[in-house]
Amino acid sequence: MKKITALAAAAFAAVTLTATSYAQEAFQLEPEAPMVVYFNNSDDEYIDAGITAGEPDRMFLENSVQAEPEDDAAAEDSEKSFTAQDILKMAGISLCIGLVIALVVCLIMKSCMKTAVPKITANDYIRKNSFNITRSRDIFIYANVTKKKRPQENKDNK
Amino acid sequence: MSVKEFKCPGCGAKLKWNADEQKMKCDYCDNVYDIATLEEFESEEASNTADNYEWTPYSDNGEVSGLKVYVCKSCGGEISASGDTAATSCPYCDSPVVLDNNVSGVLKPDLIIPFSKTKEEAQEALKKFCKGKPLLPPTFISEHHIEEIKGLYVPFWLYDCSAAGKMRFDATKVKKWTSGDFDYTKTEHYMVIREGGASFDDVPVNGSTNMEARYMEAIEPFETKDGKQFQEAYLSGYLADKYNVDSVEAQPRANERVKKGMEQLLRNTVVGYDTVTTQSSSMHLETGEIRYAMLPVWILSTKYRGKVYKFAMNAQTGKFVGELPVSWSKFWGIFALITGIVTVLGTVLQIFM
Repeated sequence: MKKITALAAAAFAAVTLTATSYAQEAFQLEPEAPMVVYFNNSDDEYIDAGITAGEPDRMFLENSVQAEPEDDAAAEDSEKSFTAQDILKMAGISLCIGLVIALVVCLIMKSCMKTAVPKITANDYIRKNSFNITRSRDIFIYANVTKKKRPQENKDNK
Repeated sequence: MSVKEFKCPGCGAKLKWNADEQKMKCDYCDNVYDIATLEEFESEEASNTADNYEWTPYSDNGEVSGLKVYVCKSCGGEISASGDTAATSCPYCDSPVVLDNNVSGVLKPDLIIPFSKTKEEAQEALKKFCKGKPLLPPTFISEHHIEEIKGLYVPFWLYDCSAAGKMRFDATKVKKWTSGDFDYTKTEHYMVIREGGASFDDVPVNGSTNMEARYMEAIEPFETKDGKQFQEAYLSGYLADKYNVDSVEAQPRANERVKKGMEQLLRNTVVGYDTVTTQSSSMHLETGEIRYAMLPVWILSTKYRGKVYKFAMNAQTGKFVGELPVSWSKFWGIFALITGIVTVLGTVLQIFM
């Protein structure tokens, strides 16, 4: 029973870590939309976009002004927001992993119910220190080398 | 005059002498070989021999007198017992047995291992065996009842031999590196030869078809060095099965186990390679001697919901084996529970990690 629990825990940890890294790659957020800031040309006041719509003498800045984030934690939270579809996908992956782990654990438990199995070898009956190697040869025959072009890294993604 | 032709060990094509490299070269796969390597390779290929098992025929020690023999009406098994032991049901199929007065004698064994474990220890072993089994039906412990526990001397053939084995493997070492824009993989192919020997003492093979061989092998090993010279007194209070598989019929099983054992030993000496594939294996057994033995086994049969479940215990070492019923509702319940836990935890971890 301890073996089964340890095996299940190890399998769960390994598979979850793999799935987590996979999921983080799969569900990367879309690049943020360009930041749009409106300034009142007359008094440089920062005003609401709805109020200023239609005003002719406003300066329009796009991608040129970066607002300071309020704090790092808030920025991280906004990066980690997932849609319902993302969460469903993650749950689907976890479900598949869960089914595999559950099947393995249950089959191990089932095999423990039947211990009347035949022996494969007679190695329980070897006379002590009687095994000896009389000839041991390792002959190099040939070698082959294959080469494969490495995939080019996309510079835009750097 | 015939000219010797070499074939490429890699692809099988005909090799030609390459004057530049001063070696034999394959035009198809471009591999080059030393003549000495090729000659050794070909001689090893040609030297594969068939398995050879030489056993000394078994000569019996006469018969034991003064035993009763019970014949099972259901499975036909013959069970012997000393005059003071009564058998009421067959230890194998649990059917009633009848006494047959016209019986032949029972072959006198060369060796007998007396019972070391008691009936109470066998009952306790069954209880222990049932513990820690999550798939055991919840009512099994309370509802099952042990039909009968029988101490039985099971006939075994014991095979002593010296085995010499030869194996040939194809092995590879793989090296990987990167240079410039390319990933390189170099695979070195080796022919690995191992020859060795070992002595096996008292490899047991079940001499009765009444008891399933897998039960008898599962309760091994028996310590035959603690065996005694046969005396009828050892049978008192226990049943003894008559062999119905003779030493010649049982030999192939001993050969198979010895061969697999030697193969495992030789294979374990091939280290340092990335892949190892067995190409050929041959075995030669020498001075094979056979002995007839009676080995002690507790047979337990329990009935649960109309079905008989069998268990066996090595009455020398206490090793207990058997088959327990599986509760499929528990199986699927545990399956669903694990799936649910992994799904929830996995999803939560993916969100927060």
